[in-house]
Parts: sequence; C-alpha cells; structure tokens
Amino acid sequence: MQRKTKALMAVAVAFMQEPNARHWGYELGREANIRSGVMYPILRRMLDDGWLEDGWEDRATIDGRPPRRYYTLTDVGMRELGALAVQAPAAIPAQSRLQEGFAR
Amino acid sequence: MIADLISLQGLWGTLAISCLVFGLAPGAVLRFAVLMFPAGDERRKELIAELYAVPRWERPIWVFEQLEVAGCEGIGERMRRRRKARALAAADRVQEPSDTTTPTLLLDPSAIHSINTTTTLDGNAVEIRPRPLGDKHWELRWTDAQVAVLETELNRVALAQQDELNLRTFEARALGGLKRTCLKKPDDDGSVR
Repeated sequence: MQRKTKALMAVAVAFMQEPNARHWGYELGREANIRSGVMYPILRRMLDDGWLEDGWEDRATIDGRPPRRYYTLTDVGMRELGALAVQAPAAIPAQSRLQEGFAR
Repeated sequence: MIADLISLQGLWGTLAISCLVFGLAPGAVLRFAVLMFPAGDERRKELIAELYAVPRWERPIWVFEQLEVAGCEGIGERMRRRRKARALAAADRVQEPSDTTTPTLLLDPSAIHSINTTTTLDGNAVEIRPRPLGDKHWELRWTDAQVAVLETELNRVALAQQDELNLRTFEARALGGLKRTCLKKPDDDGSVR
C-alpha cells in the first residue's frame, strides 16, 4: 500500500490517460511532471505491489539504440490507480484532460 | 563575419566544451552513474536506454537527475543486498550441522537470491521474507517446492539448535497464495506439536 502523495497521484493520472497502453519511463515523467528521482522509486513500489508489469522492447523492432523498458498496468493496478486518479486534484497535469475523458 | 567569429578568442574552447557537455558527456556520465546499481540490476540497462528517448538538449540535466536516482536507489540496493548476505552468512554459521548425514544446503541459488530480507527479531526468532510476487527484479518466482524446501530447512535448524534458536517464524508468498508457518518451540522430550 503506497502513501497517497501528490507525485503518486500524478503518476496515476499519467497511467490512466491510456490504461491499456505501454508506458515508458521518460514519457511518464514528462506526463506526470515529476523528477525521475521521485518517479522511479514509485514505479518500483508499484511493481513490488503488483500494480504494474514490465517488459522490454523487442530488439528486432528497433535500430541503433538499446531496447527500452516499458510498464503496463495489471488489473489490480488499473483498479488502484483508477481510484487514485479520480481523487487527484485538478491541478495535477493532464488531470483536466482525464476528467474530460470521463465526462464524455 | 564568419571569419570574425572564428578569430574570436575562446570560441574554440567554448565549442569543445559544448560538444563535450551536450555530446559525449551525458552518455559517459550516465554509464558511470548506473554502475552504482548492483551488477545485474535492470535499472542499469533501463536508464541507458532511456537516454536515447530524451531530447539532446535536455540530456545533461536529465543525466544529472539520474545521478541522484543512482546514488539513492543504487547504493541503497547494494546495502540491502550486503545486509542480506551477512544475515545469510550468520544464519549459515548458526546452522552447523550436528549430524553429518544431514544436508547443509538445501536451497538452490535462485531461492537464496529471491530472499528479500532476513531479520533477527530477537534472540529466539529469525524472520525471512522472500521478494513479493510482483517484483520482477530477479525474474524469479517462489515455487511451492522452494517454499517447502525452505520450510523443511528451517524446521531442521530450529530442532538442531533448540537451545539457542528454538522458535523461528517463516513467511513466504508462494504461487498458491500467502503461506505462513510458525515453528513451535520443542517440548522437553524434543517433539514438536
């Protein structure tokens, strides 16, 4: 169980923008607008709690760079982060867009 | 005008430093920084791969952020592993077998690696926690067989060392769900109910 911090909520909102998609570290940090020194420990705890699963890009599909690690939400993660994202204050980046999505 | 620029004092030095900072330095510094993570840690590969996703002009700052990440998390992880290794070594010393026919090491290396923490609770109890199921750090899973082996091993040690360590607590999350075994203090006749 993670403490409900602003950073955690921002990450939750970033994930819930596209709950079924693969998420990448750098883009998540940009989307959530938090430093990587804060984001990576959060991702690690989410992996430990079973909220996320991770994987690596297929080498065959990339060229000239190492494969990147991606994160996908598990069913538990979708439930937990979905609940967090709904509680997130509107001041969190991308939250307004998420709320627009719920309203539609 | 170009000729004026070229003849400007300090231009070449500035250009060299710019190339170093924005070109070579981020990758080189990052590769040194990730060495703070223990060998085999996935974060080493992950951070180096992420560098290629960061826009070139942002890289120096991003890399310096990663120094913080590697310093806190990498060294923390190293210390955790060292503590675990020490605890396991201490447990091994306690497990001096009285009966030479008894196997001394029943756990395979993957099972030992998947132990997260070993904590001595007090003089009578040792708690061993495996890594949780969601942790892919070691890309390992506790199997029921491993759990059974660890349980048997702890039982054996608890019985062999009943004067010093007569109660041990074992908690593991196996594939089948949470499993908890509390080993009871042996009775006077040596039996365990």
